[in-house]
Formats: sequence, C-alpha cells, structure tokens
Amino acid sequence: MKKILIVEDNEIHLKKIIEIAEKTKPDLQILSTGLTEKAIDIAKNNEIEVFFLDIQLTDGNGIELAKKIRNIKKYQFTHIIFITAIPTKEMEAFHDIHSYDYIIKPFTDKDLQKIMKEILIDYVESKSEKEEKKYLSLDFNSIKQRIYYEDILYIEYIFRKITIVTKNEKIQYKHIPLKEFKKNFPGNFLQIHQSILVNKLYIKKIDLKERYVFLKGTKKKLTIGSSYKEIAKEILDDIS
Amino acid sequence: MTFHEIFILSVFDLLITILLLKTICENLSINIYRKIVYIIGGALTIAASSYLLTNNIISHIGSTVFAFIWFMILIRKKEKINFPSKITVFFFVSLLIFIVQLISITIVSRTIEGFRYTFYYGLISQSMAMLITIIIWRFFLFTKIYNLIQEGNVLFRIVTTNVFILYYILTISWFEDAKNITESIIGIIFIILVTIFINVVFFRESIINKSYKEKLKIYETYIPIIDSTMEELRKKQHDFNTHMYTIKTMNEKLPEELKEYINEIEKDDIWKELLKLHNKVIMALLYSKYTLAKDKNINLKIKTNNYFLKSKYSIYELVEMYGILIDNAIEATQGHKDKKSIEILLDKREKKNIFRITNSYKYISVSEINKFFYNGYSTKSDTNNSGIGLNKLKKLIDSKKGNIECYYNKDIESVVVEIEHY
Repeated sequence: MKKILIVEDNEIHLKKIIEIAEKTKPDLQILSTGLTEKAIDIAKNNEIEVFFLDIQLTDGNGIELAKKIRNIKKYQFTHIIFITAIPTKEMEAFHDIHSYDYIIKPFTDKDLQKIMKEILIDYVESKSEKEEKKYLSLDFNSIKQRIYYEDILYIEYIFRKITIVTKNEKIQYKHIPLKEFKKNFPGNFLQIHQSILVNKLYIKKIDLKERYVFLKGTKKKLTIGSSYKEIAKEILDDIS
Repeated sequence: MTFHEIFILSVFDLLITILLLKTICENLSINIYRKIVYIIGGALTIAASSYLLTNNIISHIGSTVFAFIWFMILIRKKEKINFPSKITVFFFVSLLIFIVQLISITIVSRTIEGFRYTFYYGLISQSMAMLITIIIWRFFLFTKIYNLIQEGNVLFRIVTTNVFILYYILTISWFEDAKNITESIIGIIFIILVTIFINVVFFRESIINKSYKEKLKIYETYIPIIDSTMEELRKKQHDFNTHMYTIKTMNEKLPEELKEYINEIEKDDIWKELLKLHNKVIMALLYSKYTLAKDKNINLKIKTNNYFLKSKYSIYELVEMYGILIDNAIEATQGHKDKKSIEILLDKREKKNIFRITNSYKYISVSEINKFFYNGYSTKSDTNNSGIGLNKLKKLIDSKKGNIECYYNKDIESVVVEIEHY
C-alpha cells in the first residue's frame, strides 16, 4: 500500500486534504502530523511516496523540513508538494535545485484533486491534452492561428498553395503537398480528388454520375477525382 | 615695454584676479598681507619673465606659469576645495579676465583714434578692465558656478578646461601676429561664442543628468520601504488566504448568504492573484492596467500560475511586451458593445513563460488577424492607435525565438493572444 505524509498544523485544513486524498485514491495509507520533528521520524521509519508540506508550521518552516527530507538518501527524488497561502521567496530558491509542486490556498477541491491525481495515480497527460485537437494550427509568418476543424468546408491544393475554405472565409496558406497537410486531420475529412479534402459534415449531395460533391451553405460544387469514385460512393452510403 | 611698465600692467591683472575671485568664492577671506605679497610678488615675477625672455610666446607661457603659482599661493588655505577644483578656479578666473580685457580693448581701440599696443594705451585699457571688473564684483555673484566647482562637477571641469585651452591657443596666435588682432577680433569673438554655445549645451546636459541622479537617489531611498511594505502586505494576504480557506472548508455548515458574501469578497480581490507574483514591476504593471480597465468599465481578471517569472528578456522588455498586449486588449474591448471583459493568464509550460490575454470582441477573420502584426495597422478607421506596438512585439518575440499565437475563440467570442517566451 502506497504511503503519503501530510505535514499540516491546521486541523481543519488537514482534515480536508486527507478527505480529498482518500477520495482520489482509496487504497492509500495516509500519515499525518503537524510537527516537523515527528515528520522526520515518520519519514525515516516509513517508505513515503509523496510529501505534502505546509510552509508555515508551528514549530518550523516547511522549506527547511523539505531540505531535511532531501538529505535522507531514499527521498532524494521523492515528490514534495508544498501547501501555502502565498508563494514565498524560499520556495523560489528551493525550486532551482529540486523538482516539486505547490498548492496555493485557498484552493478548491478540484485543484487539490487534480494535483493529487497527477502525483498519486500517475496522471501524466491532462484531459485537454489527451483529447483530439479541435483545431488546425497554421503558421503565418511566425504568428500561429487556430482554425476550428468544424468550421472548415473543404481544403483545396490550388496554384501550388493550400486553400482552406471555412464557413466565414477563404484562407490562402503555404505551399505544402495535400498528402502532408492532411496528416493530423480528424476522420470526417475525406479526400475526393487529388487536390481536394472535404469535411463530410458539410456534404449536402453527391452526384456520382457527374462526379460532383455539393456542399451545404454554398453554391460551390467540388469535382470527384476518377480514382476517388469509390470513396465518394462510401460517403454517399454513409450520409444517406 | 620696460620692466616697470610691465610691472604696472601686471598689478592691474592681479588686482582684477582678486576681485573676480571674490565674485566666485563669496566667502573667500584672504588677509591684506597675503594680497599685497600676491600682487607685488606676482607682478615682479611676471614682469621679470616678460622682460628677460625675449621670445613673446615663451614669455607669455612663463607669465602664465608664474600667475598660476602665485594664484595657488593666494588660495592655498582654501581647504574646502581640492587641487583639481583649484585649477578649475584658476582657469575660470583667467577666462573671465580674458573676456573683460577683450571687451575693454575693443572699447578702447574703437573709441581712441590711433590706438596702438603701447604702455599708454595698455594703461587705459587696463583701467577700463578694472572698471568693468568692479561692476562685476559689485553686482554679480557666481554662487552656482562655485557650487559646481566645489562638488567637483566633471562636466564643468571639462568645459572650463577646454575653453581655457582654446583661449590660450588664441592668445599664443595673437603673439604670433599681434598686428592683425584688431582685424580678426570679430573672428575670435565668433569662435569663442561658438565654443561657449557648444559647452553650454554640454553643461545643460550635466544639470539635467544631475537632476535625474537626484530623482534616482529619492527612488533608491524609498524602494526598500516599498519592498518592506510589499512584504508586509504579502504576509497579510497569506493570513487572509489561510482564513478564507478555513472558512471555505466549512462550506456545508455555512448559510447561503455567507457563502455568497465569501464569493463576492474573493471575486473582487485582485491582490490575491497579484501578490503571488514575485516580480514587483510586473505586479505594478498588471495593477496599473487593472485600474485603467476598471475606469473604463472593463472587467479585467488576472490568473497567475507563474509566480517566479524568470526570463531571457529584461524587465523593461517584458513590461513593454505585456503592456502592448494589455493596452490593445483594453482598446479593443472598449469598442465592444456587449460584454467588456479581459482575462490575463501568466503561466509556465516546461521552461517557457506563457502570457495569454483574452478579450471579448466581435468575430475577426484569419486574414484580419494576420494584419494585426503589420506596422501601421488599425482596426478602426477613426483612430491610429489600434494595433500599435504589435509589430514591435513580434520583433521582440522573434528576437529570442519565442512564439505568438493569435486567434478568435468563437466559443467565448473573444480574441486570444498568447505569447510563449524564455
């Protein structure tokens, strides 16, 4: 069973941190104290996975305590999380030599839970990073811009340049082969021509005989390439 | 000229020196015996050197050396000023004498017909110079000049020294070709005036520099006090945050009114976020922009996660970059009819600093956003202010391989600008 040590002299705060820790990982063994000396004893006699240290303690300073913990060989690289109401200069100095985290009071249950998840259950990637990107990132003369995939009607490689047609505008981009450009696009974008990539969500009608794709909200019809007829057929089945 | 003629004319020079010295050093007290010794001794040696040394230039240099030695003897007990300052006094007095004598010679040569450089005309000219000196001594006091000398103002020393050198070169060239002096007198005056003008410009600069130094001195005095006040404020905020957290942990037990009251207190507490920042200048910048936005009825929120901002940019550059972004956001939001809100986030991503600013605004296309960063771009036709500095910001970011991301977030109907820099 993994053990964590919480050093906090405020009873109410301690109770809250324990409550969140238990909620986050029920199989944890939570050790706690409000005294620095006792904290060192607990640390020496146990195998602590993560330390939660309040900066201002009745009998000392959390930073000093952290330094003492680091001096114990087995805790050279163990995660330390400081609990403070304001980031202090001492924390800055500590930051240069050790990896650590901090929670700033008053924190919400959500804040505490997030940091605990990251540390206790190896929550490496945050939810937003794990999610599929919702936008296309374009670089215009080193200014990055976001184009939301859901706004893109189609993309055409024309006059040796990528042209992105959205609900609102027509954007002329760089010279990049369509094959390379479409690499990270979501599944609803399908290639219907050597130089055309269409967003399935905007397809109104497909004329397989004349080989045209008609789009919603625009009079523009896109040509289906002769070698892309099968794909168009699949889309047609899909949307009908 | 004979020995006694030179002696008499030198007596005038030395008398003028004493009077001019009194106009500069108001509190200078030299007893009568020393004055007599100075005048007699000085005049004798100058006359002897001029009489014995036949070469005009060498004789002139010799006279100057003796004048300098006697001058130093005269003011040797003036302990308040050091030796370099005493030299400056000598140079300055010599220049005054030159100006006075130049004026008197000009007047005499223009009023008396058949003026020649003889003892007789010299006596008239020296009497005139004496008269001018008495007027200066009676009605003028160069206290400010003396203060500059006393405090060892380097620029004043340089100015006086180089004007003195110029004057000396002129006098030597005069000895070379004494006959042409009256023809070239206007030329000499012109050169002197130009020199004085250039030096006055330098001198003015030194006074401005001095005033800046004084201002800086005041700041240096008060900065430690501001620092300790900030530290005190930080401690208070620490206690406040701890108490707030304690109250909030009792959430379930609190009545609804109190919960609302707590939320209200927290909502308006800008310092809760600002005091997390350890960089006082950035803190001051954000606070000043917060009050500016508040005056314009804009709701500006700040979130800081990057407490110990460390950057490759100087504070001056950071203030400039962040200031440009905030000013643009305030200006853009001002024109927005509905929601007027700005959110600032200071964060860290790996080793890079993040500054993100989000302001409510109507939809802007990609091509429009691209124009933001070109020089002279304006979002409004009736103003020249919009987009000011964004081009500069881009150059600053590019210079240290940072990134800029700018886009319209349709979900929150806002323009987002994020800079990522070391």
